[in-house]
Amino acid sequence: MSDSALRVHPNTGDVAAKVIDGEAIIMNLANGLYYSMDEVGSAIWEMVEQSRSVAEMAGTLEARYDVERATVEADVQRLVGELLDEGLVVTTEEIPDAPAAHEPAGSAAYAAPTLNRYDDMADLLALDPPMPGLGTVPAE
Amino acid sequence: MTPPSPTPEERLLLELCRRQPRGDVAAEASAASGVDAFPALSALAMRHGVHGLVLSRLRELRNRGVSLPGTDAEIDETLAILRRQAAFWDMEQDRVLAGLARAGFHPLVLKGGALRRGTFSPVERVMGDLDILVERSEVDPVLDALTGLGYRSEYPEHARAEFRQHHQHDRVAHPRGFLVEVHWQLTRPQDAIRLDPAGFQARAVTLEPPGAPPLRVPATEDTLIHTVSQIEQESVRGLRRLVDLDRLAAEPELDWALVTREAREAGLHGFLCVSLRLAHVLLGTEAPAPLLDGRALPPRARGLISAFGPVGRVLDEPGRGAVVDRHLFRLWGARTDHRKRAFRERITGRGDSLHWVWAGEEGPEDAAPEPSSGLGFGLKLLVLQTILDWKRITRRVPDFWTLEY
Repeated sequence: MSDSALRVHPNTGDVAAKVIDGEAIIMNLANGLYYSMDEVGSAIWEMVEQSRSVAEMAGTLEARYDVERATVEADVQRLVGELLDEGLVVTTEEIPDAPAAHEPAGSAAYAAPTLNRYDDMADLLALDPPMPGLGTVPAE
Repeated sequence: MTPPSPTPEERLLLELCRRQPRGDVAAEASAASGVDAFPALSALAMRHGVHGLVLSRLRELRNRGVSLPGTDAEIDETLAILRRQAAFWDMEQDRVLAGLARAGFHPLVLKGGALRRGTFSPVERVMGDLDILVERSEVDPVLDALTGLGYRSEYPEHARAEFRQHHQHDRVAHPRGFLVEVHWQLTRPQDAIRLDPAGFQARAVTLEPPGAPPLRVPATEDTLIHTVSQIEQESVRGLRRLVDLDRLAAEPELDWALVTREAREAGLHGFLCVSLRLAHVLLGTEAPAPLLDGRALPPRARGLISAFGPVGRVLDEPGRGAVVDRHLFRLWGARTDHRKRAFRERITGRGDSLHWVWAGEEGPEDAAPEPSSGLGFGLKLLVLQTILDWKRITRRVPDFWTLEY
C-alpha cells in the first residue's frame, strides 16, 4: 500500500478525543498523556475519525486552504506517522461508506499541522480554576 | 435613590456576561483599564465562575475591533487551558455515561454537565464535577458501576454513611481528578425547599450532542427551578448561576406557568422572584412582570429583601455572611404558613430541622417535636431583621424591585 492510500482511524480502545473551537484534544487513557492539534491538525483528526486516506485528507485540505498539493500531502503523511508512533491511531482497511465531501475552493491561510504532547493532565485537572493563585471556582 | 455601585471591573464583568453586551462595553473597559486590568478581570471572573464565558467574549469582541483589557496572547493562552479542561470533562462525561448505559443506567445529567452541552459551549460553562440524578434504589448499583470505571470514595466508610444521611448525594473521585456526584434527591433532607426528582425524571429530555452519546437532561423549566434552588443555597453569591438563569429564561419555548407552579410547590416562589430580579438588574434578563417585580411577595418581605441589598450580596465575597443571608431569604421568601412556621421553629430553636434524621424517621412530618434548644441563632436573626426594618423606615434604600442599571 502506498503512503497516499494509507488509512488510519482512532485507537478507540485507548484514546478519547474532542474538537473544541478548532482545537483537537486527544487523550491517551492508557498512559495519561494528552495531545493537542491546532486548526489544520483538528481538521485532519476529524477526517481520521472518518477513516479517510492520506490522499483524501490532502485533497480536502488543498481545496480548503491556500496550499500546494505536494506540501499538504507531505504534512498529512508526517502527522499521520506521528499519530501512529504515539499510539493514537491504528491502520485500517475499512473504506468509509460516504465519499469525502467536495468542498468549494477556499483560500484560508495554511499553517503546517503540529502534534503537541503534554504530560501534565493531572496537574491541569487539579487546577480548577486553571490559573493558579486566583482563588477558587464555587463548587457545583 | 443611590443603587449599589459596582467597581469598574465589576461593571465590565457584568457587561461581558450579558447575552448581548451593550454598546457601552468599550466605555466600561476603558473605565476598568489599567496595568493590571486583565489579571484583575480574570480573577474576578474566576471568583464568579464565569471565566470561560468572559474570556470567550473578550476574544469575540477583540475580533470585532473592540479594545479590551488583555493581550491576544494572555487571552489565547488562558482559553487554550480552558479548552483542554473542557475537552477532558466532555470526554470523561461521555465515558462515564457510556459506562453507566452499558450497566443499564441512564441517569439525568444536572447543572453544568447538562448546560454546557446545550445552553452554553463547553468552554463558556466551566464545571467542577459531574452531577447525575438516579432513583434512590439505583444509587448503590450506580456507585458500583462507577467503581468499575475507576472511581472511589474519598472518605472512610463511616464518614461516607454520615454524609449520605445529611446530603442528597454521594461523591466519588477518579484518580485523574474527575468528580462525580450521584444524587437521589435535589435538595438536602433538612432543606425547607423540596424539588421533585420524580417530576424531573418524568419531564426529562434527551440531547444528542454531535460525537457524543445521548444525554438525558431535565426539561428547561426544571433546570431553571433547580438553578434557582442553587442560587438560594449559595445565598445569591456569585454570577455563574445568575448567568445560567439568564440564558434559561431566554429559551423561547419556556413555559413560565409551569415554572411558577413548580416554584410554588417547591416553596421557592419568593426566591424565584428574587433571583429573576437579580438577573434582570445585573444582566438584563427578561421574565414575566409579576415575577420580576415580586408582587407575589408580602409587602413587608419585599421591603426587607430590598433593604437587605441583594445586588451587593451577589458581588460580595463568597461565604461572607452567606449562612445568615440564606436563612433570612428563606424566612422572607416563604409563602405558605406551614413552611414559615417550620422555619420560625427552626430559627427560634423550638424545632431542629434535622431531628427526624437523627431519630431515624422517614421524614420530618413523622418525627416528634424536639425540646427547645435556645434562642442564640434565632435571636441574632430577629435582631438583624429589626435593624433592617429600622433602616428601611429611617433611611431611603435603593428599591431592589424597581432598580435598573
